[in-house]
Amino acid sequence: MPYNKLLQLALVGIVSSFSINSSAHHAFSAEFDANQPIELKGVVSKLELVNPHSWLYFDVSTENGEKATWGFEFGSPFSLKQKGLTKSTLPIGTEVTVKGYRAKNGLNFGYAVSVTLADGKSFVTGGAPDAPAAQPAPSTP
Amino acid sequence: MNLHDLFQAMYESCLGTALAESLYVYPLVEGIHLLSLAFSFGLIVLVDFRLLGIALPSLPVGEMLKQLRPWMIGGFTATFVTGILLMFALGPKLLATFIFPLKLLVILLAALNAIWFEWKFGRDQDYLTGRKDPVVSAKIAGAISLASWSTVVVLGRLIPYFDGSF
Repeated sequence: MPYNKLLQLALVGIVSSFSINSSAHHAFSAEFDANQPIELKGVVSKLELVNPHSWLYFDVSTENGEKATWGFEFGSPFSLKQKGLTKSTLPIGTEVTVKGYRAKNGLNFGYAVSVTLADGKSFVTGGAPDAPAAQPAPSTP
Repeated sequence: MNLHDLFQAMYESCLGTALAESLYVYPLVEGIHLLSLAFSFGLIVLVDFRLLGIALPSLPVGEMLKQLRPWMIGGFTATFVTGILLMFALGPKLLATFIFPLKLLVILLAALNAIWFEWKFGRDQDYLTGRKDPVVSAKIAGAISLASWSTVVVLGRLIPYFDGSF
C-alpha cells in the first residue's frame, strides 16, 4: 500500500533526523574543550557517585588565598568501580590532583581524565569515546 | 514546598540515593522504562491508527479496546512506575531545562484526551461495534493521542541531550 509506505518513510525520516540532531549526547566535545587541558589540586568537598554521570567537587586554593570550588564530571558508578574507584576512595577532605579538560562555558567545571591521591595512587577515569583522554594510559599499581 | 524542593527531597530520600548510586538497578529501571513502551506507546499507536482509519479497519474499535486494554494498562503502569523511580534517581536536575516539565505537561494533555475519548465513546455501542464509523471527533482524539504520546517519547529521549548538569 503506497499510503502505508509513505507513512513509514515519514516516520523513519522524523526518527532519524532526531538522532542526527542529538548525536552530541554527552559527547565530550559538546560540553568540554579539548584545547583547554587543566590540572588542579584541591580537597574533596563532595562526591556524587551517581547515575548516569558522577561528579566530584573539590576546593582549590587560589593565588590570593581564597577558595574556589571546582566540579569535574566522571563516568557512571559502574564504570568507576571497574576502575577501582568507589565512595571510600574519595572521602570528604581527601587531597586530590585532578587532570582533565575545562568546560566550554568557562565556569569552574571540567571533565576528569585522571585522579591522583596524596599517596600517589592514580585512577584513569576518562571514558568518553571522543575525549582526548581515552588513550592508552599508564598502568596503575 | 515548591517543585524544586519536592524533587530535591525525592533525590535525597533513601530510595533516590540507592537508585542513583546503584551499579545495576538504575540501568535496569531505565531498561524497563523503555521496554514497557512496547505495551504502552506501542499498543496506543495501533489503537490511534485504528481510530484514524489507517490500520485494522475490519476490527471494531470496541473489540480492539476490550482485548488490548489489559496489556495497555499493564504497559502504562510499568512505564509510569519506572518513570517515577527515575525521577527519584535524577532529582532536581530534571528541572534544569524546560524539557522534562514540558514532557509532564504533554502527558497531562494525552491523559485528558484519553479520558475525553472514554467519556465520549466508552459506552457508545454504535461506534464501538462499528455501526457508526468513521467518526470525526474520534479521529481527532486519535490524532491528538498519536501526536502527544509521540512528543512525550521524543521529549523523554531529549532529557539527557539538554542536560543541565552545569
